[in-house]
Amino acid sequence: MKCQQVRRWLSKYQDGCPSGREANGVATHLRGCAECCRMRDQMISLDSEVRETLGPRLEPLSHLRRCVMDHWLSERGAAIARRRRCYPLLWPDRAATLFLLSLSVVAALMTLFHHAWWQQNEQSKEQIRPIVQVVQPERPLTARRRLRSSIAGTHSSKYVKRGLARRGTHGSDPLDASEFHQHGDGRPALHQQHLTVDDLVHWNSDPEIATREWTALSVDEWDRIEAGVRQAIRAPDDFVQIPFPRLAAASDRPIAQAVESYKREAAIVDPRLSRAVTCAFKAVALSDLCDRLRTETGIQLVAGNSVADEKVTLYCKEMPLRSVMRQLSRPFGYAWTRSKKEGGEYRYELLQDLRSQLLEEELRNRDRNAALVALEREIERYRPYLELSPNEALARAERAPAAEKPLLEKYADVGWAPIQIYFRLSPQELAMLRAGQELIFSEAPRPGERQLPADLKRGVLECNRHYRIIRQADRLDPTGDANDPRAAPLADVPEVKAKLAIMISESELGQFTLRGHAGAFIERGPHHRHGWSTFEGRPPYAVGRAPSLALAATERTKSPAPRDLVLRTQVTLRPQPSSLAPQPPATGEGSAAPEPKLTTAEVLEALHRATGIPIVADFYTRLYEPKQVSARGEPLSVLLDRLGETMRLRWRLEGDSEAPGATPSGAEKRWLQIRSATYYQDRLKEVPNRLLTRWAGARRRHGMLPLDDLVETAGLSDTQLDGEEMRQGAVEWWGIPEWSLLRYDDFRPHVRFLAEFTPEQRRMMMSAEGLPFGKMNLAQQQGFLSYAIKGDPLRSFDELAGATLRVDYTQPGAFQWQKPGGFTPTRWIVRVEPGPAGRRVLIPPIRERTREAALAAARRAFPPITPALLAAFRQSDPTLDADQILPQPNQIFPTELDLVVVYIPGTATARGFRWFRRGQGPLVADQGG
Amino acid sequence: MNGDDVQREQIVGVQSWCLAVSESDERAVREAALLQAAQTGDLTALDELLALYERPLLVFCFGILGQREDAEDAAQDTMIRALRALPTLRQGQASFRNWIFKIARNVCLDRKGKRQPTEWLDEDRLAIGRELNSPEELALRRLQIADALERLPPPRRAVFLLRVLEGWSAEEIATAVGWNQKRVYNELGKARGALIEWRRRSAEDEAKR
Repeated sequence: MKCQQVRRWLSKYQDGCPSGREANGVATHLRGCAECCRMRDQMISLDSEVRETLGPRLEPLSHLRRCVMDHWLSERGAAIARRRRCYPLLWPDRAATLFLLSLSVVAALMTLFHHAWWQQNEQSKEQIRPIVQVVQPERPLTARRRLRSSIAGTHSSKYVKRGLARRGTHGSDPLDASEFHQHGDGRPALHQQHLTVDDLVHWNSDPEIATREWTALSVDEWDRIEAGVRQAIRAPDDFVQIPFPRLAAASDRPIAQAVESYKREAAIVDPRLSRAVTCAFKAVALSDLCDRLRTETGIQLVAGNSVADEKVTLYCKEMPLRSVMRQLSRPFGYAWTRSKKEGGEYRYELLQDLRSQLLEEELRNRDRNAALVALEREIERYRPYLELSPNEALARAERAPAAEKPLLEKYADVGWAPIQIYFRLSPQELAMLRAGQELIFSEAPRPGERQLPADLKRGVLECNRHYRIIRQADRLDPTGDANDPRAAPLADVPEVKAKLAIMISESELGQFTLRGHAGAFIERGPHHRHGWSTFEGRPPYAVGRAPSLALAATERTKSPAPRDLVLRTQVTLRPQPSSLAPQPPATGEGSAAPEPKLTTAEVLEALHRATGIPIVADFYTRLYEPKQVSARGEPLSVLLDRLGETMRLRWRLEGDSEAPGATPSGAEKRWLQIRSATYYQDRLKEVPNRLLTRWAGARRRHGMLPLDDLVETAGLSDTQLDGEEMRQGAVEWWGIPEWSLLRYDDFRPHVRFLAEFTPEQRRMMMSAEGLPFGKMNLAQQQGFLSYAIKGDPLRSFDELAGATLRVDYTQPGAFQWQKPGGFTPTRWIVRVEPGPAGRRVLIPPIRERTREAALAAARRAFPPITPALLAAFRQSDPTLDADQILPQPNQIFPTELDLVVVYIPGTATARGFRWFRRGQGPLVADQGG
Repeated sequence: MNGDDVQREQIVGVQSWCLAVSESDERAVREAALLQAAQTGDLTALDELLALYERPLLVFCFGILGQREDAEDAAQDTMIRALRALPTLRQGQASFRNWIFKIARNVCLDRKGKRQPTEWLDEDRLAIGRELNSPEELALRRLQIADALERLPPPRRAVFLLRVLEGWSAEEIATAVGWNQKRVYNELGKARGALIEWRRRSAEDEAKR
């Protein structure tokens, strides 16, 4: 056959038309002709593409047939009623009716008599039939054939055929092929059922068939069967997930029964779900939403644990509950399951299955990889400058064009050190870095640190421009005074050593940041009794974001001129802030309070009011300026695209609705589905409403978030606490400013450590004495020591005399004593004896409502320690008098929101105490010497 | 090609023929029983009978009208008309399939003459999360396929969709639309040819860009 001829036959060949010689000819040609083979493959793939693309869109609506039947029945009912009205005219004679009735009774009696006679006759025939019969061998059915015959009971074989054909198994399925080969003669097995076979064949079978009968189907095979059955048997309530039976039974009947049971379950239509409901839920958790729907309708609706805390916004008017339930499951990849107790009513539970969860995980991984690639691209921008020293880079930055300048300035600063080392890392070190591990390179490495390449030393020290060294006779003194003529740059002092640190952190989901520090240190020795070190860094030096975190273009933007009339509607949008949102205070006297921000829920509420379109959307905390999300007379499609880009959302106007009587293009029956473009990231960042409500309530009651609640907040995951939008929402929308205290991930472990204590212990921590070491249990003591004496092993338990844990938690609105000159540890502790074996005392928290009261309280607290203080201070300044060390009015400052955890390892000053504060720490102070 | 391969081709061919005949017979018997029961007023049988043709009718109407909303309305009208006229259908006079598709064809032609479709692309019933394609990719693919199908003449499109989506044989399609089998095969061949040509041109355009 020639190619041209074969190509004419190809479509028919695919449809199974040519037979015999022509089919063989085509098959032979196809084996030898790559071009024709490609064309056949194209035809096959085209068919499957059309099937996959259009197939799901052409599923009939679940209520289509019901509507037809209802319509026709009502028509027929009306016709019968009309006929009944005419009945007396058709049957005027009552005697005729009686005659017909009696005739029917006689006919029935005759039928009964004939049936009894026939049965008797059959029994007599049975008695003379031979006892021995030839038993026809039963051919074992494959699982698929069982299901096919079972389904065909009530459904068209066409559906089954379509279901199987759609999976590409029909006609070329190995299972079906085995049906023809199992007897070895190539004849169709369907015909063999009529053959008479001898006993040996009846008793013995092919071991392969026997094995197959008892071996469980592979998961893939079973899934295909399940898909076929699900395709063939469509559930009217198709948003309900009906578990497909899995059986241990290997005989036909249970499998057929299981499919029957599936069919029964799939055919259930709960009439209660037709009840119309009106919903106005804004950023509500699914568990609360289900509770409210349950109260309203009396139907058991529950949100399972996997979705209970997910928040949605739902607005609709008089929609069937069935439709609402469908909108709560389908757009979000959730599923309703249905269960029933004996004699009870159906209970529905909304769940997200593992597959859906894993799909989201896959999306997160995809974003993570994309962010790492973006970070790499950002870092590569530094490559052209690698040959420059920090000072050269600084000089070049001064004359660089505007586009290049910011990058060069970052590089010329401390960024030089991490960038340089990044390009020298081995693949293993890069892998460790990307896994979140911090790498430290030092000239004198400690355990766990790496050796700093010698050629980087000078550059690292050059980065630290804020310090210089003054060389005295017997020591080296660091100074911040760059103009001191005695001071030399760090790089010019051989005793000063260099150190740098580099790390890549996932600062938010889908966003990686390169951070680094560069520093200098002088080891403890003859030049410096305690050693000295400084570390500086201004991270981040490069940020890589996944493309999904950028503003999302929505699906509809691809369709520039929608033909849908609903989308052409002109809409004016004026969203109003929720009354729940606290009003932000004015920033200063005379200035107006800033306009409260809006959430997506408030915007969607306004959209529903403006258009009447039912809306379902997920909710994640994000705030927007009202002007960003307002509109005046914009076409709906344009507005939705703009909102989508501003609020990182995607939208879809669904055509399906079950509202009776609504027109297909009517806005009131079409759901507007909205979902965050980064929902798979946002879900992990969002904090449940039940927690936020409780914390916001506690804050309103106490005027501040109690420490116990703050400690509980710190128990949230890092992802939740790192989320910038969630933090903004918690502070501005929920009114919990304390959230910002937990912003720094190196401070969180200390707040989380406080969760190991009882509320009573935490109260003691906030008192003047703090929580003594002796009142901690063993685990708490171990935790305390790991923070208090880190890196300097304990030599004797006597060192812990007077060891205390203290927490300083302050709120704005009061005044406290504090030594001028910034944030100093003398707020809590004052040394009263000089020298390595000196002694220190704790100062009680001095905090009052007014400035005067705070000063008076501070002066009351000082007299008992004044003599000791005076003696100590006079050693360095003999002219000091008692009045000078007493608190002064200029040492009283307004309090601010702050939390400091102070680990005091004892009253002896041999060991410094360590304190941690948001964004600071560990800071070591008051070490004797 | 060796002898076994030829034998295998033939066997598979015979197999699909046997199954088709078997299922076709089974379906015809079942359909006749349902029709008879439905004509006597058995509502369950009537419902089952409609269930057999619900989706094929929708696909057929979609093929003619090219728009889902219109196709749904047409399928609904067809079923209502069929129910009204069911008592007048005599067994053996015409097959139910042929009869109901004749109604569907008339309904579609009526509707096609009366109104224009309002919307072609509606985003519904897409299995969420089935593939990790982006919505843009999926929408683009749907648009392309829809565009290609829209270029086919409506009867050819209807026949092609019945074959591809419903898996109907040429014989079944021929019964439904009142053509002979040869014409059905020809129409299917032309539809596939046109779609392959469209795909080739799309690939060329894509390469140029």
